[in-house]
Amino acid sequence: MSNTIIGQTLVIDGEIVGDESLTILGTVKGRIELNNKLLVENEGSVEADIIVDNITVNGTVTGNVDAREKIEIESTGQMIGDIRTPKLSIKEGAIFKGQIDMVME
Amino acid sequence: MKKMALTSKSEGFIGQGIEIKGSLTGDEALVVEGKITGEISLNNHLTVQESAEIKANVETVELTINGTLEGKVQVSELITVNSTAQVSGELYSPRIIIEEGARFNGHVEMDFELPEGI
Repeated sequence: MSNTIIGQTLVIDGEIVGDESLTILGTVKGRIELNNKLLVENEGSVEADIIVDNITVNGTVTGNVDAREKIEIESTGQMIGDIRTPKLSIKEGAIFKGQIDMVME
Repeated sequence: MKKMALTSKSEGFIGQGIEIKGSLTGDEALVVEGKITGEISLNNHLTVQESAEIKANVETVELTINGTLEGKVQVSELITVNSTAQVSGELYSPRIIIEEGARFNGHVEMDFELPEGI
């Protein structure tokens, strides 16, 4: 098993670096750098600058996001920050504020 | 859905490929296989697996150590240091078990007053 789960009651203030997939149900503040995918669940709250392969946002993300593959903001997702990604989807109902830079693959 | 299973488990898991620097606080049980440097404050059971490397001051209710831990550890109920563990630092807890094979360098104190709020 190599999926890290930050559970609902966990609060991390600092830096998370790694190469396995990460699911956030709790709160993370600081910086995330991941050579894998990041899933922010409905209850999850992230206030961080993020570098990741791909990210799915069901919860709240504040910060600049640089995705190597894809950013998906789902209908329950809220995102504030500047994003850079080759692929992007924003579902109906999602809230987004920030700059989008769609880099060529 | 997958989400339901995760939520009902109400448990955190830090895998081998993850490194955290900073503070980590919470109320749920946490299993660590990765690296943590900083502070951990948990109102629950913390398990440090064999592959884990923790360099932190730790406050928790129960602590099981199978891996490497360095720091000051304050536990309100029980510390178990298993045979694969490598520990250096200070352990404070009313009950402490150290298994044969475990490596330990530092200070142990089994009777002390906990600070408020743990």
